[in-house]
Amino acid sequence: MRRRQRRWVAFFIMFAVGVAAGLVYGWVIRPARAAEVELSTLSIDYQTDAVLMTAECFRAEADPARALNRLAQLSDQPPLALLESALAFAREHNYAPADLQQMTELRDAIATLLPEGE
Amino acid sequence: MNKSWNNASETQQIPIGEPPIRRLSSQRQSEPPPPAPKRGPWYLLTGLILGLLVGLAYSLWIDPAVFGDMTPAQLAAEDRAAYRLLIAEAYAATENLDRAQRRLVLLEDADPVYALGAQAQRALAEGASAEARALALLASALQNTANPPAVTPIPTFTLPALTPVP
Repeated sequence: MRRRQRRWVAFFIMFAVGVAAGLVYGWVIRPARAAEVELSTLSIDYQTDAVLMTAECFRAEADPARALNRLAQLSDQPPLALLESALAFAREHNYAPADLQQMTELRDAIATLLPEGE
Repeated sequence: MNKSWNNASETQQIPIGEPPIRRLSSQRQSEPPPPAPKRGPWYLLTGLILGLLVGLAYSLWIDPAVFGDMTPAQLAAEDRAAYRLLIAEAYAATENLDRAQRRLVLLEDADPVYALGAQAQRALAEGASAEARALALLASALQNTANPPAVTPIPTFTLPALTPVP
């Protein structure tokens, strides 16, 4: 009986070792691969700069549909939400007034194009 | 209800006068217990594999790691290309080379001009001529900044003398 218990204990120890190895692979080793890192995973400062680039293009092109496509590439969140968060970050970090103006123009143009909440 | 023994062979097999149970217990006391069948350490391997499967399923499907706070240099090749294109298009719109250069540094390309040129060629091959133009424009501007063309005036005295027309 004692021998049987020891076997079960050893089995569960090995099971725990296996679970730990699986978690380390999934959470530590695999995320280090860059092959799956998308634009939407950029930190907020880089996303804000990308939004600013989109705003710069928009000022020259005046094409809201193209701007929307670019914004959709940048983040999983709705374009207006992305623009608002980028504007908030830009204001917080004292972006140049001209840059803030461009981003605001883009936000306003997208807001007139999209119904609320999109 | 009376039960009658119909099976004669069954009654014949029971030896009379010898209590079989007592004999069996005495045998067990004297003989050592039979050895347990020897099993290898396969149960350990089974535990390890089962645990590994559970751990992988949890970390890859149930609660996968979420990427966040990445830099442009860490992006996948396709998304790096999209970011590079955005930089080029913003440059085409603003002609702010200093800003474009600072943005390109974030991608940590070994040779930004080459990366832009190669992407421009790919875009051209795919029929995206506007994208190709923006990329090539930035590549050209960078090249001109890094290695400004040496302008050497041609000395007039080395020019061949005009041959008189007969």
